[in-house]
Amino acid sequence: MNTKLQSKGETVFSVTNYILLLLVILICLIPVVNLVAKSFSDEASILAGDVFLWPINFNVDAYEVVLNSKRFLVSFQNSVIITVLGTILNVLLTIFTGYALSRSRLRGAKAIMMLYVFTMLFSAGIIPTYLIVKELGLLNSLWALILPSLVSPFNMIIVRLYFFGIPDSLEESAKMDGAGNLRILFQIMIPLAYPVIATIALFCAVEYWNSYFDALMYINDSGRLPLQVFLREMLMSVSDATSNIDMLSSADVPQEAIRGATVVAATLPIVIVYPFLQRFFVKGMVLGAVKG
Amino acid sequence: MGMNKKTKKMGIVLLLLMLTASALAACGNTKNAGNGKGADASAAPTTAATKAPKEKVTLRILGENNMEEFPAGSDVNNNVIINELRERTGFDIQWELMPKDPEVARQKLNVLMASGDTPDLIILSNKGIFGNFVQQGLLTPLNDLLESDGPDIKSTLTEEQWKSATFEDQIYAVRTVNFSSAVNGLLARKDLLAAAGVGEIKTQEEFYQALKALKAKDPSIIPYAANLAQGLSSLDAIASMFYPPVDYVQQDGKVVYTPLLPAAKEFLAFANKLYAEGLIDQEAIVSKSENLKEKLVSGQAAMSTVGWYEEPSISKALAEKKPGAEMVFMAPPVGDNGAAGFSRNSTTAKYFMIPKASKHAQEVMQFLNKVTNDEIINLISFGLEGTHYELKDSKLVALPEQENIRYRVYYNMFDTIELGLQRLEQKGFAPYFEAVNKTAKHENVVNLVPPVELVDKTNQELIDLRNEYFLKMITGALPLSAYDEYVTKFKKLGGEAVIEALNTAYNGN
Repeated sequence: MNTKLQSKGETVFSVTNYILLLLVILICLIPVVNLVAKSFSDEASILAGDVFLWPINFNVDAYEVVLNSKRFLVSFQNSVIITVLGTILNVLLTIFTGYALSRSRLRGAKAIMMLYVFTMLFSAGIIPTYLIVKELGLLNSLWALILPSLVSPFNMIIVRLYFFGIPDSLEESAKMDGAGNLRILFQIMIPLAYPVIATIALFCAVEYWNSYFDALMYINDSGRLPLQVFLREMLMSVSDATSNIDMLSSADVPQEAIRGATVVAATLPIVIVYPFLQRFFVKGMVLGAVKG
Repeated sequence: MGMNKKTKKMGIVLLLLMLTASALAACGNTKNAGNGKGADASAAPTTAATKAPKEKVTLRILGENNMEEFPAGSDVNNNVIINELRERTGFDIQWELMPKDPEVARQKLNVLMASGDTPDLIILSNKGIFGNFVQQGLLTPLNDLLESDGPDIKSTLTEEQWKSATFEDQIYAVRTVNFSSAVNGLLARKDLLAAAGVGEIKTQEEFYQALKALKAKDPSIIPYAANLAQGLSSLDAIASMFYPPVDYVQQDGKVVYTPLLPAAKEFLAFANKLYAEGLIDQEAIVSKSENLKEKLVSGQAAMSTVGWYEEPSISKALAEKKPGAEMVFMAPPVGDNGAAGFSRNSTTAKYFMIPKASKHAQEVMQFLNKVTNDEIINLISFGLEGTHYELKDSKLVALPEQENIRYRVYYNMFDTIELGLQRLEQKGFAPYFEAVNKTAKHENVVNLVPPVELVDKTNQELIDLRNEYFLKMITGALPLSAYDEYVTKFKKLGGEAVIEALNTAYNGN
């Protein structure tokens, strides 16, 4: 229907747009496809630079190595724990804080707010933070990656502003119907805030999934390192060979295919989970809209 | 009533939160033994303490992470080798590993040092970090300790080797030796050379004629490939015909910077000729080592300067891709002025440093003194005699069980050249190494002296400047006359002061 209404110029415009956007998609996709192709190819073909978009001498050896690797599985598990637990706690606490600070009846809300904003402007630096983590006995524990940044002031402010936008009258009428503070929060406010919660949940999840620097700072035990660290070490160990000859052995220097397979195996879960999350987010938004 | 219900609910939520928190905290901390309380660790009873009547001192050792995967049920602090090591030395050592990412590793070290929560012993190979720590006064001087508690350590190194860890007459680190001092060799396709009718290549002229013959035989072949995007070292085979392919060498009792030698100009002229005639890969300037490897493996390139440890994988892949192709390390040609030989890495390696904040400096020295013992070096290199290796004709022969131990992390301790070579042989790398070892000759003076602040600061700039000008002159982007401009800029950057500083550090005048 639309096409009939379009003038020639508009058609040209759309076609050019499509072509350009397709090109952009291709540019983004080619490295990924190349990596996937490499992960299924044999070593000699990769070294010779023959593999481009399609695997040569197709095999799944690399995946067998990766999926049987204890460190991969352990790191993967760690990352899942950090992400799931961290996101749940983080979102919950952010909502609590944001909601409380958005209510005018909370005395001293402004002062508390200032304290949060202060941390956005000034940070203590690596060493004091490290000392606190250490003195709390969190070193070498996954909690060191979850607890120190449990409420991000930035996210909290977004949530708080959102709650501000919800009229007080809604809360008052709920109160009249006999709802307590918690019921108001969980059954009225939170359902109304699904869109914003979905947004900050996504922020948090990505941040926790990508934990890297903190993990290297606070965790020494290789059994407790997250996936990103494992990935990085995997990708770096080839260049390591130059500095440490004892690492060399035809069997266990990670070959190109294994590196590719590790990256794929580490990325795939998020890629798979994402569409489901997205649907949930959209639903949440609709839900909020209907009720509001 | 409503109030009551509300508080109840809230209570339950809080309780649940706390329960999950404590449960997870508990399982997160089970293996935290040596870590939580750091400094007063000697008081902390550890697993070992239950057995031994006398409490073992806990020593925290921070080492580089060159570890591979430990089999299920064991880890870096719980495996056959470390348990045996604890048994034999009488110290409860707890190993920590540095992050592999060098930038993060540096930051973590700084945080550890600044927080006072330092390990008792740091074993690293980074010279810059060592120099930094010394200059900041973070390390324990070792002269007295070596005298009182490290009698066996003193003799593991020569006077000259100790010099590389000495500042103002105080030794600040124990070092060990590194067997793998040879790096690069001239790798060539024997079959292609034979097909082009090239015999032995001994001189610069023969080298030139060989490259020309390769190109004449098959114009699609790149006679000499290089990865110049990562510096000049892939041209070492060519440069070594003119001057030692390392930055600073000792000549006639003085330290000189090789790019300033008259021979450097001749090298540039020769390399420029090769490049202009298409004998050096025209894409070399944008090639990285992966690209170079790719060209060798796919059979496009006939020659290059390559590290010996790259050879096995290149040969293996080449054999699959091009049956009949043969890759060998060739003796490099000798220059008209008699110059020959590749670079040689320092035979001294690693810095064993005791931070000032450690309360166990003396125990660390006692521990180090014990691990210089040959039997313990054998243990950390090969495992247990009878289980992991056996002695045959005074040579160590690996038993199948050796594949199951993940001992590599302990190489970060003492080593001997003989044992290093034996490990190389056990892994089947000896032929590649030996081929290159014969031609490795020149040692960079920088590696022989203790870290010099001025050198650490300026040297990278000097290297970048040299690479920029040399590459441009070789590829013809700048005329050869730009060499004078290069020298002027070198002086402007303070290059002469760097040479002087190295000279003072090395020759002491």
